[in-house]
Amino acid sequence: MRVVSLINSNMICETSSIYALHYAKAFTLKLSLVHIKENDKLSIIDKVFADIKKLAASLDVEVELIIYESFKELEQLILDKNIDILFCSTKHERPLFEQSFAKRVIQLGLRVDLAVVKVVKFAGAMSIEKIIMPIRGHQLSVKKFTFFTAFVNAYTATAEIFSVDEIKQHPAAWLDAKAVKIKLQEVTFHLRHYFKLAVMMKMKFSLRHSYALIEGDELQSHIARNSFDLAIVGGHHKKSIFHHHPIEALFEKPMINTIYFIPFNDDV
Amino acid sequence: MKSFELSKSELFDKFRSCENGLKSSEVKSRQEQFGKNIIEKKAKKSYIKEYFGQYIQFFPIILEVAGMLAFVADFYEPQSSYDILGYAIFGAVFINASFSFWQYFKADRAMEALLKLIPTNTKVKRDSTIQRIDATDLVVGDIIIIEEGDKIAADAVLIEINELYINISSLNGESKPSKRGLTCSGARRSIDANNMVYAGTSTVNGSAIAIVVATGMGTEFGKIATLTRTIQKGMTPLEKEIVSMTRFFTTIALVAGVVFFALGYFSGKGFIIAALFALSLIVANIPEGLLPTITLSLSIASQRMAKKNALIKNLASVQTLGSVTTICTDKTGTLTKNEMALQEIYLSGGEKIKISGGGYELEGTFSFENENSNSKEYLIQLLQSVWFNSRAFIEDGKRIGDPTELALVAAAHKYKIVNSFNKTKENPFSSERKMMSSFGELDGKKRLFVKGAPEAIFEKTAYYQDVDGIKEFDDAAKQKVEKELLAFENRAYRVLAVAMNDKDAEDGLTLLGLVAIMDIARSEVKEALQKCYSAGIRIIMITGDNANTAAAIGRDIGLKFDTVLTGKELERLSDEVLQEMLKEKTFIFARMASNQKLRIADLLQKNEEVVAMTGDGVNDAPSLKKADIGIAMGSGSDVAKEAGDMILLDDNFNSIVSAIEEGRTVYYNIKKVVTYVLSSNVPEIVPYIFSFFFKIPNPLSVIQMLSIDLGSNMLPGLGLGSEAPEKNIMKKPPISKNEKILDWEVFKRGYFFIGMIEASAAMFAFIIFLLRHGWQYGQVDLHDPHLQAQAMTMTLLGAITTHLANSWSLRSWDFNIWTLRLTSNKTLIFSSFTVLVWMWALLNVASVQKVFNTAHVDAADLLLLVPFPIILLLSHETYKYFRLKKLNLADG
Repeated sequence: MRVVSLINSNMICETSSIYALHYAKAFTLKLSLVHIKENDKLSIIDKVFADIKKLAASLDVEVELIIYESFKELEQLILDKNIDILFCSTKHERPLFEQSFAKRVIQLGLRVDLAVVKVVKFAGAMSIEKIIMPIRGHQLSVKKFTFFTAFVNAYTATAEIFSVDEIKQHPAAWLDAKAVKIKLQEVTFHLRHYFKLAVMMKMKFSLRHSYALIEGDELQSHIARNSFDLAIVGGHHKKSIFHHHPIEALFEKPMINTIYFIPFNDDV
Repeated sequence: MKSFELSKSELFDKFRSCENGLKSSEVKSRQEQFGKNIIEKKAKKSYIKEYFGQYIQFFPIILEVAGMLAFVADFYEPQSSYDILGYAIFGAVFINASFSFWQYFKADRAMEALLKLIPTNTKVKRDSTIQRIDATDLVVGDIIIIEEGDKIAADAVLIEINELYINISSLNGESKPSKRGLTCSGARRSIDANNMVYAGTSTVNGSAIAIVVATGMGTEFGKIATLTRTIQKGMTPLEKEIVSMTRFFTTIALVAGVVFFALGYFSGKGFIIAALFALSLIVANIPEGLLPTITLSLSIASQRMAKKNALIKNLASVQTLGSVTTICTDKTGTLTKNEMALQEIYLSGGEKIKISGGGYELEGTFSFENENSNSKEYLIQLLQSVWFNSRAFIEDGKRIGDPTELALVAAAHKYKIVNSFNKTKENPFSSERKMMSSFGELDGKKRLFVKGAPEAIFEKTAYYQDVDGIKEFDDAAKQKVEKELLAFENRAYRVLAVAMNDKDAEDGLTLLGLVAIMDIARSEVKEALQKCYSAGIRIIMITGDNANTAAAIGRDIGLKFDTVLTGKELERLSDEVLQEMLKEKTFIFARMASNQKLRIADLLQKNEEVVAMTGDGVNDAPSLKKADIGIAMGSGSDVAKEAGDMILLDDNFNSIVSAIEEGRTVYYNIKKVVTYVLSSNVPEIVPYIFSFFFKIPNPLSVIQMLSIDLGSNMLPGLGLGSEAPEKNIMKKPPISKNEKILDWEVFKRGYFFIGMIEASAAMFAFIIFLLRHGWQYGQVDLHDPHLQAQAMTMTLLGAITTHLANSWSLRSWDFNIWTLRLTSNKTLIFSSFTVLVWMWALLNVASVQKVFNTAHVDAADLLLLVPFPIILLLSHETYKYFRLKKLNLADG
């Protein structure tokens, strides 16, 4: 099994590859930096590889650079080998007719988990102290939890699972303090197995719950207030055009580096 | 490694940049990758959408349907002039929608004020040339040129500096310019790194070159902006109450309308008659004047508050003030005067002197302890030293200079020292030397006067001025002075040591003594605090000052607190623990960062507290928005003022207490207004029900009802809304958030007590008038329009006169009206006079009579109206008397 991170001459690829490197470290997997030839200067690719390699050595992770002529070759790599996860980055602004790499992978339905990174702080992947994973209610899959713990472990960061539930009326704190407590107990109950796992792995998570009128605003406010460095957001391969998930919306306009984790089997 | 930990070459390497800046070709790609350098804004509220939204609420929709029904009726019965009623109902809808918009609509301009801190353009080096670009085009890796006075557009690590000082208050509240360097000085967080500049800050002095490491929402400023943008307060208790009240009344009106329509229709009155009857009942049941009266009352209250230096931005917040259970207040400038005062002097010979008079006042007294024959001479020497060695001056009422130096100069003035020093040289204060000195000639003698941090001065001291002359500053002498220094410090004084020399050298000094300075408490604060305590309000001091100073000031002003908690201690506490602690104890929070205020406000609210929070800095905006009442200081930043619900024009704590008193008053005044409006509905409803069940002519027309609701009721209602605080208002506990204005007491008094007396008055006047003019029971149609109009005028006047008496009786909720000053409510006097004029117009002015179906009535008949106002006054006063007695008994 290996971790693949796609690189080109964009700076954000370097950041996403550093995340991939830490993920690989958490599971002692090999990291393959894959570059598909387009218009990028190979000297930049070599430089990025050299930097990542240097960092990989310090983290004791095996790393290789693979250069492909076309996207087809990558497809083949995914089909042939055991690829655990594919990391790629995505731009904040994309020219009208340019299709993101992540979208291409999703559309092809390739048999691989996908981690799409949106970079706000270029140097943000070097050192992480606080990671947040927002979830809705107690909806947390094993895959997402595993992905999250990889970073918590690799960066030895403090971690928080932030559960949020939408309500129709404004949360009058004085009225729902009790309700929040009860809800937190309920979420804790549902997530108890994850916490047991965390204890076994000697990791410490905190769990918070909040009711929110606008979930996206509540999440952003919480992130800003608590100075998180990285957010892990769960995603789906198939999105409904009728329903926009508020936690996914966090990925659209992030204020910290955010990884959008899309597991192959859409059972999150 | 974090970006601020990297060296210049590492930064260039990492961010793929160089001394010559980025290439233009690279910039576009980076903008796509990281986004533009833009702070996300909230979509602006549309005034038009918000306004028209007021017309499609439950309450106006019912009236709109009623209005349309009136026009339909006019179509079938044009002679009945139902069109006037239709116009009147739509007029009522318009008035209500307009007042509702006025009360609710609050434009959130905090973000706009915040964004003004970001420059529109900035200087960068790209393609080896310096150019001015749109600040939104800035990207990571850009080399920015920073000059004095510049606003900074992105977070950047400094690579070259020249005496750079930046104003970082927008991010951390620190008002003093922060000197920047080329190393991060061991910082762990970007905000603490000394080698960084940040978006939203500005350059005070010097210049620099820096490399951009974060833009847009990724900056530290982005965090503040996110918090400011995303924190929403929701509806105030009053707004919620009004929504539930209007729903309640509208439902009652609707149910009554439907029931009576069905009764009318099935009893054979016909569809049109039944529908019109239902329409009349709906109009009678809906208190059309309630919302305008409440809004105007709030507006009057907010004007009264403005006179007390509290400027309310959102009308509905006035009432929230009445529910405040905890005030989180700043210390400096709010509890204290932000005016340093030299309060005590210790002369190195052992004399202690206490100084009276305000910090910058030029008159005061000096009380000596251990005084000897030379004490005054030595005191003069010390005061000369502190004055002449300072840059501050006080002249013709003008005060210019550092607050500490101003306090020293003022003390010298108090002792009538004359400035005869000829200064030739000054060695300014530096953080390395921790002292300042001035050299010159005084009375023909060369003198170097020195003042500074005691430990720094002691190191350079060789002698001290003892009672009987200059002596060596040996260990014993030093210990003696240090003991005094410690005593001063324990009492939270800021202490400076004062020394001199007869040559221009900052060593071998002769110590003259110590001066103890403190920011003095506002004189009125003690009383205001006691007022709060008796009103059941908790006060929490939150300050950036150290724990000792905060505690000393707290004790001095009589603040009740259990312990002092510092920002660092707070950081170590989990939310759950802190929330519990806040339930059980009252703290002074010292050395607090502004973002911690937000946490405290949040947790207090979770403890069911209603929180008023003061703030002045840009970074206080989130906590001001979070608190139930955000109080921005008048001297504070525009962002804080935009984020707050109230602006304290004089920064004075006393004004907060006055505002709370007004808030409580408003609550009870609205209660009175609601009772008043409710009671006026009864004489509108009862005549209709009577005419339905009994064989009598129609006692009151719908247009006459509207004339009560939107005419004769409004002004006395406003009078009630502007009633002064009741004497026990600050002796009661805070009004619970869950306490309803429309409670059983209001309902009982309004509908079943006062309302019934008013209805009796109206029906009594109507029936007796008719009987006196030959009417017999069972005669439904009078066949005499003039007599019909006269009878209806009697009903209307019966309702208006008793209602006027009611407005006077309701001036106090608890106390009898003879305990109040008759002339203290000028609005009520004026409105009563206006109502009397209106009654005269109804009786005598033809045009008014035409619109409102009224007619002239003889004085003999008008006498029928006299008993009921008197009965109402006497019975309501008796009720209040016994109720208060019962309440007092219950309270023990």
